[in-house]
Amino acid sequence: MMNNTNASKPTPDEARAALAEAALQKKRAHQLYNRFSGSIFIVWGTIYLIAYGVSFACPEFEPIWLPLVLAGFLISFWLGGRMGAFLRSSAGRAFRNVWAGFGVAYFLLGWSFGATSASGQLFSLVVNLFVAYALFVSSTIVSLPTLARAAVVLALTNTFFFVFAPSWYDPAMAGLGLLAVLVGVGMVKNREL
Amino acid sequence: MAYLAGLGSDAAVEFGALQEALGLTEGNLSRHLSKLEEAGYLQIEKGYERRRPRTWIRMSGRGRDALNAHLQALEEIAKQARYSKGEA
Repeated sequence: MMNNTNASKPTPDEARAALAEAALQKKRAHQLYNRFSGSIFIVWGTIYLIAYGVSFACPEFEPIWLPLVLAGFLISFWLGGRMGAFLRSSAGRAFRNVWAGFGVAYFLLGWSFGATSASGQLFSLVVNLFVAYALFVSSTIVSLPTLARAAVVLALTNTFFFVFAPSWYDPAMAGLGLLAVLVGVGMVKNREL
Repeated sequence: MAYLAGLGSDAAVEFGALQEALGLTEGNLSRHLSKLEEAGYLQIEKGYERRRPRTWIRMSGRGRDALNAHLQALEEIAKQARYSKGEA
């Protein structure tokens, strides 16, 4: 239709139908980013739910954090690699760079806090604020408002419980993990929240 | 074309992924892509990814301009019809 100058002009109804179809195709394309982000939410939401839940209920099992976090990074970059196998874009590269940078910052923070025996909860506060920032930057790269909303919820919940209810910090973060899993499932099923 | 536009202005999508997303057969999609490439609206690159042959499809600047002009023309037609109905 775009190339054939001899084609008859579409009727208004045909024009509206074509516009609706174009809008639908654009939305379907954008949902690739939505589904990918949803998968990441499910992975990290599960990690938060298990690790913070265990930290609260059975503090002696707190070393579970390290293998869970390592597994989380490996799975996340594997998912990213899978997406990169069929889609290449500057947005995708920027998205990957933000989270690779976060990964480096996370391990540097972990080493710093571990070496100085600083408070575990302070470490969580700082890491989660970094996560919130990375989520916010990611939302601007791939135009997904859900990521920005997640950033705000994480930053506010993280800070509130750290300051006003530190004994409930771990359950609150576990609860956020459960919320992230539910949001992620919704995003994977193509319902942008 | 609209699907490619939705992926981002510089995005390249692999043939198999595009076929699955659009629900077309391989032959059908190839024919569409050939016509669009002949018109200069697409760039098709063949390469390898982990030793597997891959075909990547990217919309050209000319293709983006043509798509935008086409959508704008459709908007005008739809708008004129609404305006005419309003007058009546």
